[in-house]
Amino acid sequence: MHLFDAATRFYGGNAIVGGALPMAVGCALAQKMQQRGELTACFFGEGAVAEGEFHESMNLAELWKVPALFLCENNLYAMGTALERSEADTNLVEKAASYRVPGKSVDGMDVIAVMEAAQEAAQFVRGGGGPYFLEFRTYRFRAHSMFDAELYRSKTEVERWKQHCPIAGFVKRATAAGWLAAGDSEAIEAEVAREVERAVAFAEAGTWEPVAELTRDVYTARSPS
Amino acid sequence: MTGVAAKTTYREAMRAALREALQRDPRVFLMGEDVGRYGGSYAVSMGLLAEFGEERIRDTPLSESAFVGAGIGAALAGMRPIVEVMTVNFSLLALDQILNNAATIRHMSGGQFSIPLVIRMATGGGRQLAAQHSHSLEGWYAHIPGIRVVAPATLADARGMLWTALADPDPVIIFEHALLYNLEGELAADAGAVDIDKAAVRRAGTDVTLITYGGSLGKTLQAAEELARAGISAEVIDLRTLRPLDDATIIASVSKTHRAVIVEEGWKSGSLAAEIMARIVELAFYELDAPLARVCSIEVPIPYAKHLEDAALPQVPGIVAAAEGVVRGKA
Repeated sequence: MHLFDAATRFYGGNAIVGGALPMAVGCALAQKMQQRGELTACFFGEGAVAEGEFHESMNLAELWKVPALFLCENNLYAMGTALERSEADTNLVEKAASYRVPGKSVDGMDVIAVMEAAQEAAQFVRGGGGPYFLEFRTYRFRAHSMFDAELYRSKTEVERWKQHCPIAGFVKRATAAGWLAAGDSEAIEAEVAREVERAVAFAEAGTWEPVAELTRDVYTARSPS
Repeated sequence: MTGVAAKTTYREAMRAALREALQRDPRVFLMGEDVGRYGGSYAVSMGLLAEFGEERIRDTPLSESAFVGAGIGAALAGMRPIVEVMTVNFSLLALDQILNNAATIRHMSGGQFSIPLVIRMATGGGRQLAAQHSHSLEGWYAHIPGIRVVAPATLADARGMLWTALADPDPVIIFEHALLYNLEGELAADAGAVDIDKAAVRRAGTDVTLITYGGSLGKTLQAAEELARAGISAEVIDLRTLRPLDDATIIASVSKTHRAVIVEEGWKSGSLAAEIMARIVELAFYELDAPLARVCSIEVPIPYAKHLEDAALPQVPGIVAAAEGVVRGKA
């Protein structure tokens, strides 16, 4: 959950739903104040729109016209609670629009549509247009966690969505368009599988962080004064 | 500190600190509710909008979580934000950001990211603002690893703690007791940054150590004065930094006086006073000649009515009685 990577300016996963939205506004504010011509991208699920922090952040982002790109992956369930069981209004783009944040709803299972919408939105944000909201309508094929018995949805529903698998759909389209040759897709999948195996092997071979370093990085180490 | 001493107030000292920070570092900006056009709900930032402009003196909506979180994000991305939260009671709306993000990101990221953020907020009672504007919750914040908590109680600290806090790579919360803003006194013209590591002995004494901070320092010094007239020599420690606590200064004093009373506006149960008592017992039990005592707020939401509020908060007679109790064995 808490993955960070300073080298790629990836500011981490946040286990508090909606908790990263205010920080994204702040990152984008810094980019604007420093005139860096950059943007901050913030990913969250549709469950986050129920949090006050979503509404506060939309308002502040638009009020200050910061270069923030809000990317909402709407997979229909916040853990096990369906969107229509938690939201009086399930139109997410309208929620953003009520704060004057422009937005668009996109088929999140269509790789090309996602790419095009993201490019367009990024151009708008980088161009100084202020924040932008993208909703990707998508689905989670697997359980929320290993403790999830998936009592809140039917197997038929899951199977129906699997027919729209974004990878399978893209491979089909790319093959038909000649972007991929026969065997390319299998080769990519095999390479990815090898990469994952290497990563797992690396992790398994690693050593545990020494207990002596338990409290390292609670505070920045200070030179003795 | 040299230079000609000039008459000033705690509020003006704080404002001078803000002005200096804004002048010295282009990464510094101030944001919060009513910090701009209104001039700050306690008039601390009065005039700064005209001087530094809308970019750097930012009025925010009443969205504590969003603007404190935005401060964290801006700090991550290279700025040095000062976020003002109107009162500590409102800061609870931003507690998620302060605890789950500001205090944890450095550790969660394995040291990849620091949050050089300063949050200022007013705390404390005594102004008949009742139960949602008067509490002293700094002890809660002092419970959280990953942040530093300071409480300037003097003009020099109001003037000097901010710059040091801004230079700190980690989040610092500055608690300003609202009754201190009108505090008047002399401050050297060239007063500047002060340390935020050490407690200060504000009055030397030999019979009992009175340990306090922030808004209770004045009352405690007054109590020490009365105790002196009654033949009791009280040493007064101003904690200054509530996290991390300066154990050394506390223990050195208690090892000299062998008695201690802790004075604070927090509620007694689970209080900072309780933590300090525990540390004294852990570190200097055999130095003690009498049970420890504390003067805290009565465990009630701070009332509106003046006589009830006075009764709820620590007052000079109560501090004197507690000190006499530990010195003379009177309960």
